[in-house]
Amino acid sequence: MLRKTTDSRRGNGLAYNRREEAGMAHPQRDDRGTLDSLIGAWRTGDALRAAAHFVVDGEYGEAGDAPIVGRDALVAHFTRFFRDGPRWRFDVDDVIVEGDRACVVYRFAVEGAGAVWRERAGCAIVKFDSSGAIAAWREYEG
Amino acid sequence: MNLHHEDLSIHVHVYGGMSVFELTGSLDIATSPTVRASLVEASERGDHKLIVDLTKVDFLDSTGLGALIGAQRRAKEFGGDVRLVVKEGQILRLLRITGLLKVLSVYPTLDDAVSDGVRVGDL
Repeated sequence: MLRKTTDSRRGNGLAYNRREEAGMAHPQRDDRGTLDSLIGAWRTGDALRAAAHFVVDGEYGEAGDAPIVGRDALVAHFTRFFRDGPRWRFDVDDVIVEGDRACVVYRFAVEGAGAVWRERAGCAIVKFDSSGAIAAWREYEG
Repeated sequence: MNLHHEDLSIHVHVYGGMSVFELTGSLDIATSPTVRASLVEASERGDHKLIVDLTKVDFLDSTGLGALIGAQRRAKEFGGDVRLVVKEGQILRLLRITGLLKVLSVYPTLDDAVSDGVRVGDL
């Protein structure tokens, strides 16, 4: 489990990923595991843990919107969505990892008025930094 | 083999010893299930080295990308590869913008794809 930290060098008080916290090299990156963990954090509504998968100045861009930059902003965004947003589902159909990139093929559904679910399909292109943390998550739909 | 959908046709032939899926039309939410099924069928036959020729595709959306990415994921699981042939234009711009040129194997010509020659990202 990731922990909070007050180390000012970490800027916003959020921990990096576990490998970074331990000050270890990254001989065995597990980019697929990182993605699974991020999506797991989203599904449990854990904004802090979700944002901790990103580098401190990481970018998260939803389709058609300007990217949100920085871990603090990501925590705020995820927190708002989990607190105020509609019920939602995020289903992953495929993940491919190649070098420092990955592509997540997904379906995202939200519950609208009358309990009608609306689903969109898209791809998220993910870029990792050298430590295996997420530098950018950008969604493409349409 | 030929498959026809209202907005897309798939012509499958062998070139240079590889199965080539030559698509013509739009690869979008309406047609990508047909393409996905065709590529899954090839995988189930044990054909894991495929070429998808997109030079005659005029539109590609995120569901089409998903079908191609799924095919690549399946192929890699069996040590294979899905090679895309894409000419300069809207589809190549999309692959560049999304960063997928670093994820997928993209070639400018069918001959380059067969010979695993120069990739678009290398140009």
